[in-house]
Amino acid sequence: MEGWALIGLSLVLLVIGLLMLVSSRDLIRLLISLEFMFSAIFLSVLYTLNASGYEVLVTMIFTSCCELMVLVGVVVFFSRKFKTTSLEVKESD
Amino acid sequence: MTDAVTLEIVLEGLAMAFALMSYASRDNFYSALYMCLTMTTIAGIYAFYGVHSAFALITLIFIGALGIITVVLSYSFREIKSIDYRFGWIVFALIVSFVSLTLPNFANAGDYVDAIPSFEPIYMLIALPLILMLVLIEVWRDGL
Repeated sequence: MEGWALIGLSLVLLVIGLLMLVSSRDLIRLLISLEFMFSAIFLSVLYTLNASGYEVLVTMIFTSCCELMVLVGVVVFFSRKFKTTSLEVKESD
Repeated sequence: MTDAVTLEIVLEGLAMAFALMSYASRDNFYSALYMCLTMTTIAGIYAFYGVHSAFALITLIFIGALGIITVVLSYSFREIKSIDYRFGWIVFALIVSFVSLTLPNFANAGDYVDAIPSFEPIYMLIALPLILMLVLIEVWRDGL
């Protein structure tokens, strides 16, 4: 029962992250949606966590952290170049 | 229904509610704040299951570092700049850190609640990113 609740919550978070990803018109919202999807994966790992699963979890946390830091770098460089984080193309562009 | 099951349902319900609020919010700043709250409740679920190391990792890395960077980024590019953060928020953060450092001496609740105050530096660790975030907002906005 507890496991199903965790899997259900992780599915809900994954769906919310995906919905936010496809509807995002902004790089920051994209970053938030990725963090939601990573948190969904963390929750699904908790369901199957055992003695050897801890190393997998730590590796996952640091790997996802590095991926998100790369995206943060992209946001910073994008904003410096275009002075905005919006992904919408203006008519004048 | 035992207290443990109730606590788990409350944590999972909060995580779902914060995630939905983050999705529904049109303002990136509030969306990022709700995302941090979702991550906090997820870390709470880990703590509930006794995986305290994962709780610390998620709290310090995902909320303390990435969450705060996201909040700072979203606030920097916010169109409606209405929060007076310069002085009031710093005073608030200092009061929270002071109270949370002195509060554990008076805490008297269940086993889990007792276990957290016994690790007193965690309050300072939670308060420090808040102060750091305020400084980062100032530096970032001055640089734009």
